[in-house]
Amino acid sequence: MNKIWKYLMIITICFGLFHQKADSMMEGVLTSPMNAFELVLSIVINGSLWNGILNIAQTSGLLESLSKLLSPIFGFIYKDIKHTDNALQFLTTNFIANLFGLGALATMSGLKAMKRLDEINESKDKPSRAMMTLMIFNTTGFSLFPTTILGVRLAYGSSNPSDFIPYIILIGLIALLIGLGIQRVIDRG
Amino acid sequence: MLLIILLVLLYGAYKKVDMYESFIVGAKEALSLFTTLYPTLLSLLVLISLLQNSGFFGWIANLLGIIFKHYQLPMELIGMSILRPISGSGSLAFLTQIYEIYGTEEFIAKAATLIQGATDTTFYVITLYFSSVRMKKYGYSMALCLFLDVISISLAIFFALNFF
Repeated sequence: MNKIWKYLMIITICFGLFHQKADSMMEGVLTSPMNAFELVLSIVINGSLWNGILNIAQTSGLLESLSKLLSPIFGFIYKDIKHTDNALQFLTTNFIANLFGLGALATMSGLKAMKRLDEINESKDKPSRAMMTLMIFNTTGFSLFPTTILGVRLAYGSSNPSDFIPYIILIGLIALLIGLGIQRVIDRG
Repeated sequence: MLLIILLVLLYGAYKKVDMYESFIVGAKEALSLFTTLYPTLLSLLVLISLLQNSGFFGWIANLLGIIFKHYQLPMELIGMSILRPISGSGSLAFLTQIYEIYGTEEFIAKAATLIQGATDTTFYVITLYFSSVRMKKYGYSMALCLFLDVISISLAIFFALNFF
């Protein structure tokens, strides 16, 4: 990411200057800090509410029973993690929250899972296999209730606003399975 | 959503947990993420804004348009596919534009809906998660997840053409 950022920044600025886009680029650069602020703020602020709830669920043992319930699946996918480890609880919560379209809860539990995975990671500067698996789960993310798109479709007068949902679930599942499959192959080879 | 919160609270009460204290600790923990996340996401947003405003994205979309001309893939879908892994709000705005022009039932609108719904903002997600633990190397995750986006987008177009 370090190198990609460096080179892309230089190339893009040169490209824009060459095409006389200096004004719009300048405007974009100047508005970015505030945009980033609002983005992080929304993660952190909405996240605090859910992290508060999440913390209650963790101390009460609710997360543990939840992850035990799903441990046949997640124990198989995250083979490296011990069944008793906290990480599994957050990974399970992250998956369920994504499924139900609870973005802020998904982000918060995902970040907590990441933190725990970092603590049990054997090499500190290389991402562990479990971390990459978590990335596959969160980037092929599909949801049973894609509320935003539903809202937009409704607003534009769609006669059947929810008819796309089976397809995105199917596509998400296929991509997820292919991703996990490729990862197995990479790690073996 | 309220039901989930209620369920957590009831279970906590049943287990006699100090719920108020737990809530405060959890909320505070989330706040402390701010300074870790802000610099990395700022660097990402500056780059994305430059890519969009310099016309670089438009140029790449045109280039891909020429390559895929043979398959008669609409320009809008190419733009959507490039934007989707990079900016969630950007591609959502793009989707509403498509709805505005074509309505919600045309092929383009259906394909764009599936692209928006079936994939996620890969660049942002990976940057967010790895920066939260100050991990600088992403391993093969970026390449793999972008490849999965390509698969999802192809499937989205395929389904929009054939079934949906």
